[in-house]
Amino acid sequence: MSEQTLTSAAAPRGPLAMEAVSLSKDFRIGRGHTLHAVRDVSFNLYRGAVVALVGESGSGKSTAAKLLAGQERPTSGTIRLDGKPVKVSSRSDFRHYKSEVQLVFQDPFSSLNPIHTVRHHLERPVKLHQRSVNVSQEVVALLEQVRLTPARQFLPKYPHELSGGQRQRVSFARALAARPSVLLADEPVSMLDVSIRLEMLSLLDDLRQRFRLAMLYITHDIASARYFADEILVMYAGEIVERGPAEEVTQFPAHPYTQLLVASAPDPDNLGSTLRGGSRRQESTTASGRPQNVADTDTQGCPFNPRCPFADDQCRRENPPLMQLSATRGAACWHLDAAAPELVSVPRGGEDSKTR
Amino acid sequence: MSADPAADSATGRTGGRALDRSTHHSLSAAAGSSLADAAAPSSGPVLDIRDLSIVYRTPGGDVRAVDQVNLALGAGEVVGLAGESGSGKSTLAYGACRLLRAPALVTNGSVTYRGRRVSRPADILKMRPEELRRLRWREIAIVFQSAMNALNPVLNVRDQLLDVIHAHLKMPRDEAHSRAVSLLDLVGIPRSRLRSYPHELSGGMRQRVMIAMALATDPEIIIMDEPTTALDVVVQRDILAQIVELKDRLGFSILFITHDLSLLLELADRIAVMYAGRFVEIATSDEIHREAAHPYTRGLLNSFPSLRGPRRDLAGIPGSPPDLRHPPPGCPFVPRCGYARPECRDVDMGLLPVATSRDPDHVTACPFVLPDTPAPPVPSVASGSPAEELGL
Repeated sequence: MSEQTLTSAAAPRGPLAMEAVSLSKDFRIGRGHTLHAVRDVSFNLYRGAVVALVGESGSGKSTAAKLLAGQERPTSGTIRLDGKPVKVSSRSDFRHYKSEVQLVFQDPFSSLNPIHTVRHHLERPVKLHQRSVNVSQEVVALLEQVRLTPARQFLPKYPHELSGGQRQRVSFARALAARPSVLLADEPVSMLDVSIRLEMLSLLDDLRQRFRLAMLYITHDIASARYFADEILVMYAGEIVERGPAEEVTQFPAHPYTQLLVASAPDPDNLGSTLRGGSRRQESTTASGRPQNVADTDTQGCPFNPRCPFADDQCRRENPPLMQLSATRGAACWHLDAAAPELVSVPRGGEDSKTR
Repeated sequence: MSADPAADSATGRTGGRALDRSTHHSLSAAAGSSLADAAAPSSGPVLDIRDLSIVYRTPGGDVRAVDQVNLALGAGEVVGLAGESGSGKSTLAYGACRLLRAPALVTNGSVTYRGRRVSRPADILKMRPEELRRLRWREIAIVFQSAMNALNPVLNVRDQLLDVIHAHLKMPRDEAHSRAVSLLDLVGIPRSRLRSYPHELSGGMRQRVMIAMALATDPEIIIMDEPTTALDVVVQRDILAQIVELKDRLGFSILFITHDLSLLLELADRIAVMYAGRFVEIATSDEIHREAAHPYTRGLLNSFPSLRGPRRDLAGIPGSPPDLRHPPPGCPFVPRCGYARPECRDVDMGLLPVATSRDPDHVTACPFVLPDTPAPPVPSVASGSPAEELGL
């Protein structure tokens, strides 16, 4: 695969923690149909770095996280943790894996058990994953790390007594209880109020630094990925269609789908493209339309071709591989010269790898 | 400019809006006169909320969820209600439609509905049950936030739509069926999905079904409570564009509730920013975007990462909203406000016209901060929030 020659923009941050190599996951959905939720996805996570997986619902980003978290088994492909292929064959293997790789869910309202207190939520993973610590001290320390202070005041509380942001802090603390090296955050702020999202992201960033976490940040909000992530991977219909340094991908999107994502983000600074008076939308050059039913993706060709303004016969016939645009950047599109001429015409060298 | 509310009914649907808005948004009668020369749009408000107060009765005291709020929704207008969770925006919208039950209690105010199909304006808060039944969904429909929970999981899309149609319109079966089909066309769902159950649909499709249900009775007003919050941006934009298009075609009004101010800036004609049960600023979207006056509005504007342009320092709003059982004296935003000063404890939260604004309807509850007031030094987001650290 050509993407193996790409260097991750997150690599300079720290040592390699986790590798996903050509991961695929198929789901059988009755009557002989197969849903290719994740197709040949490869990426690396580095200690102290954030890799963002960006895409719309149904693009396979949550399935990718579940594969990494060990909640689903890949149909094919390998996951390596600290260089060793992950084999979960026994309970203790599984427990060890879980203590290294933790998952934070999107919805703090349903991911906490309503009949248990904050103390219970945190004591359980501490007892499970850390044999030789003072449990109550550890629980207090965890709450302080996520800035739920004074900790003693929060311990006896039930989830319904907490605000959304406080609940998500408890989820973070619960994930940290296992002292993981990898944190998979599946839309960790998208259920929260806009006004507290930033605070939560900066908390995650703080935790990343403090514990040198290798973080996978899954989101559909590419704007937050710009601020939060080192590398952005854009997923569409189970495939990575574009990857590169966060700032470059958001400022100069190469793939037509990334361009659509960027154009769809609410942008008050560009009131010309406003939704008000709908007809004034000026998106002649960007892609449009609705996501394809991913279930029907046994079709050949580029999965994005039905929505793509640049699609031609080649796109309908052959699925493009990830074309390298620079040392750290690639996009899977046959027509990058038309979609992003400014990126293709200028040959880009290794200078991109040190953008951050 | 001493517009009596009743006068509007005499003038019908024309010319009343400017009068209403002037008396509305400023609690001080004196301020009203300066607003007289506002250009009068050609229609009057279809929904006219006045002095509405709603409390939640709890053992620990009344939670003043909505406090003395005035808002008018013009025909064909999109008004955005912005604010954090718990600011009272949903309570306001549902309370205005009498959809709240105990312990919620409307303690004050009136909600006048003037629709094309009703002969004279009526106060929703005084309606009898059978009148309410005729109003609900037929005149005012709602698109709820959580489409998964709002749809009946054991009914397929067609039955779901037929249910609404038969409940509110007298219509033969085959006619109702063809209406269901055309509603799906309207919101862009393939007819093959007619027999699908909610769990077989994607989040975007479910939300489209919700919108189709809201449109089923050709209502005058659609309240949209965070209709796209759970959706991703591409689908969100698609659905919003469709909503705007349908609104232009069918002529309904929208009360759009969201915590995402960036969305409203693009979508709404006017925006009312709500905090702790009060409006803190009301203005057109352009004014909010370019000349936001209230510190809370400014905080919201500085809360979302921008995708375009240079990376800027983002502040967010540290802390959390006050406990509405014991609201602090004066301005409720003081503990989180970078501009706060001692006099803030005496602010009465009445809405005053923004002196420097070109738009006479631009009102703010903060008497000290103007659009051109320089921003205070931004506290680092990483440093945590003092208010939150105090506990609940």
